[in-house]
Amino acid sequence: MKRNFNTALFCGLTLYLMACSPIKNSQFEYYSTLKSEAKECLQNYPYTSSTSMTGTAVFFKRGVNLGLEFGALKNLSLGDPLQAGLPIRYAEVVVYNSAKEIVQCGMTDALGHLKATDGTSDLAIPAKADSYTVRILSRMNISLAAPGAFPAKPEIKVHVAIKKDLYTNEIHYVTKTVSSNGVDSVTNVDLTAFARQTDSLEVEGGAFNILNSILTTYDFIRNNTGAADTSCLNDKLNVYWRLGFNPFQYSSPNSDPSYLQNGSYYEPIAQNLFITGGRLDDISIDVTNHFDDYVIIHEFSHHIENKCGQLLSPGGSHYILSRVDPRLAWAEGWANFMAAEVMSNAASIANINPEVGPKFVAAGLPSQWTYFFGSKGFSDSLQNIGNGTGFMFDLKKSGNNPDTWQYGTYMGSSFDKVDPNRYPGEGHFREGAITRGLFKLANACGVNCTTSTPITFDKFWNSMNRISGIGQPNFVFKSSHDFLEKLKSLVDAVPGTWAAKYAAFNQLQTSEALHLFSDGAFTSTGINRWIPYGTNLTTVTGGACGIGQFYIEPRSDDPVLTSTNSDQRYSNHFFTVDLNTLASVDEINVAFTKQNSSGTTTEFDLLLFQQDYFFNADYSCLSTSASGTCTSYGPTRAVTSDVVRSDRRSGGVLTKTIKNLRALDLTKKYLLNIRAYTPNKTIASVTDYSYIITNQAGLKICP
Amino acid sequence: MSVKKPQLIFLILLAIGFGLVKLTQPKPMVRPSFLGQVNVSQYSSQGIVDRVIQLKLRTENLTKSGETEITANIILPFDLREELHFKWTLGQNVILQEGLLEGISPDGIKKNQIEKIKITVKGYTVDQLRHIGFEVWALHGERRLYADGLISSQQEKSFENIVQHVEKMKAQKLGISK
Repeated sequence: MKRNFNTALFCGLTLYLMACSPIKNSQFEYYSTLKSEAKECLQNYPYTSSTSMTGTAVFFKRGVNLGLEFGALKNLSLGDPLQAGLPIRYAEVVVYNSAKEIVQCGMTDALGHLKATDGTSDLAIPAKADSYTVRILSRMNISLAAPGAFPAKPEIKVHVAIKKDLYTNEIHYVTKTVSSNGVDSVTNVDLTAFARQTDSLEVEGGAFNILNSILTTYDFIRNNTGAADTSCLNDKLNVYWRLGFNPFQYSSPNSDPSYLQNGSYYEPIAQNLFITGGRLDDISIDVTNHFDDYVIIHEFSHHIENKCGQLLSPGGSHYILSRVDPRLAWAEGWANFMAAEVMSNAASIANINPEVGPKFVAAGLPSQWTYFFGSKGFSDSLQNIGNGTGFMFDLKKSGNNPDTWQYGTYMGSSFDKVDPNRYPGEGHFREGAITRGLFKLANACGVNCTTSTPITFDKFWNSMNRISGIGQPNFVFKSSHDFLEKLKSLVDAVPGTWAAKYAAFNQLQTSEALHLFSDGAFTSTGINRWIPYGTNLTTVTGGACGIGQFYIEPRSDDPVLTSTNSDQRYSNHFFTVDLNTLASVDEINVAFTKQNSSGTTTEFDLLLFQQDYFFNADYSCLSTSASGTCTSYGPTRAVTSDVVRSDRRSGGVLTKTIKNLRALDLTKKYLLNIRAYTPNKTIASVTDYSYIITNQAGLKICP
Repeated sequence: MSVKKPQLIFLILLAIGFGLVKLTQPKPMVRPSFLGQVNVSQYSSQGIVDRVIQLKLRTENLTKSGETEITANIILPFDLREELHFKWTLGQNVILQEGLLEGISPDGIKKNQIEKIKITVKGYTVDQLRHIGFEVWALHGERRLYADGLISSQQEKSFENIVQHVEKMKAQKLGISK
């Protein structure tokens, strides 16, 4: 017995010591020590006796295959590499001698030619017989000249590095070693970053394509924002990409990589971009984005909004299928629109993929890129791989008849199909509608696009940014509605232009349901049936509110329209509360009155959110599976820590109250959420309630 | 196996010493994982799906000439009467020997009962980098159920594996139990 006990104790202690010992592996230890990025090679090394080195750097990328059905484009996918390589533009060049000492720095020019650090002079190396190694790095640090029409436009710097991982900060590169006799120029130093793994195991073409897409976006911004100051993008941007690696593993290190969702993302605190290179070293079955220019520019556009505007998105999953948080819909819609604007621009697509336009034309399609597209897998005629598929929709199509999913569980379902007649304003809660709606205002692209002069991109930029747009700090709670109202005000620099040219188009012809409150879309006979997200409450009055009465029209938590969440368009109204402006308000009461006797009797709640809140859902998880996935949900009126005041009493309480508001931090703004409590309830579509907002003295609080 | 008393005493002392060192050593400044509460948006090319399907892909090398049997073990937390669709995607140099790459499991699945979908392939060997993907989905009322997985014959050589270990080491240094 004692021997058994001792044996058990021995084994237990041994296991304990083994389990608690730090992991020892030289490879893991190598990566666990954070390394600094190699210093940029910016110095010009002068030589009294030198010779020149000339050559060209190009990269290859995978092109797109067209999925055609009866002449109509139904999908896109990644296919064979382009026929011709694209120049590696403005990338850092480093030349080493045989002793591995740097002997010269340089950069490539617009055509990929090796040049000195000024971008125009020849690349000089010592007039000494030796072997020299040239490296082209996926890093650039250049200034773009102001466009000719706007010579006073502040300098735009493109300072970007495409790195392998978060631990080593190594920059991707292509390299070549050549011999010099010390007398003659060294010519034909041609370097290539390939797209096929059969040509290069690291597929460096991926890194240089990411760099190229980002540079092209900078160039587009420079040329299409008029005199606007875009130096907000001058800070260095780090992008992390590694072939065959899913960057979500960084944030979920305990997750089994075999089952972890794979994708690209922008991390707004550290302001880094993460582009997926696949998963578990696979690049042909799963999602990779290094050749998905649309996705790269989309993610970069989150950075653009973060740096030049305000990125207030709560993040989370979004699928272009249902009404979502308007902050999320806006941020994603902006990023989608931006990517489409860059890729539909003739000069930009010539730099990104000059072969795609002719391919469209050969298939009988317009040459312009007008597509939202993300790939999965690829097909390659040489490697005999046929896994390529993707999800794509055409931004010039009508909002009530968009494209449909071409694979997976939603095959046949529409991408954010909207109904502007039945659900006016719902487009503000759908990223697909925002993307298409903005694109159709900015482009002459066919029957669903504007027939007036397209609104120039500089107005979109100025509506987004923090100088004149909704990036200004007073827009604490913002949506596409704020953006479009701002755009309208810029268009109306010539008074009446919006009404004459774009109002009816925006409401009707695009079919995107992006109606504007100021166009009278929600007001009839003094009754406002929807209030734009984040409308400011500004006035306390003993009389009636100047803008009329408020009605709310609750709806069921529809599995399609709202993903079985509280309907952000119909069941919720949101007002911004600034307690400095509302100096006499310590209490908010909202009294509800049923208007249509055929409607469903409904309960309402008040929730006061703090800034940067996560929406307080009306469902909570009731049970989870062994793997931790929620398997069933049930209604809840619990509040989260983002709710600073609330009244969620159940029962027939027709006046809801939140009190003691002056105890809150008065330097902050808050969002009053007037919400119908609808989980697991069926609400008749004719249901409507009027409501009146008052303070503790019974005075009305109005926008 | 028998354990002598001196050995046991030595081990106990070692364990106590180890514990004391762990308790007293200073916590180095190591950057924690950066995405904890950050508002990162995530795209899915699948649309909004209910990931309630538990999926595990198992491999078993067969004795006959380099063939491997791959089994997708599927468990659902409720009875499923609807059709369950599945699709295997074989990476380069992996060849189907037996089974269906795409199909429907029509008979329904009982709650918590393991549904097995098998194929036999050639070329999926640990001495070469090979991949196999699997997707499974069903429409259950209004819920779109979905799961996917991808296995590598050399997962231990992947960068995901490095990240897992590096983050674990960082957590150990920070004294965080992961």
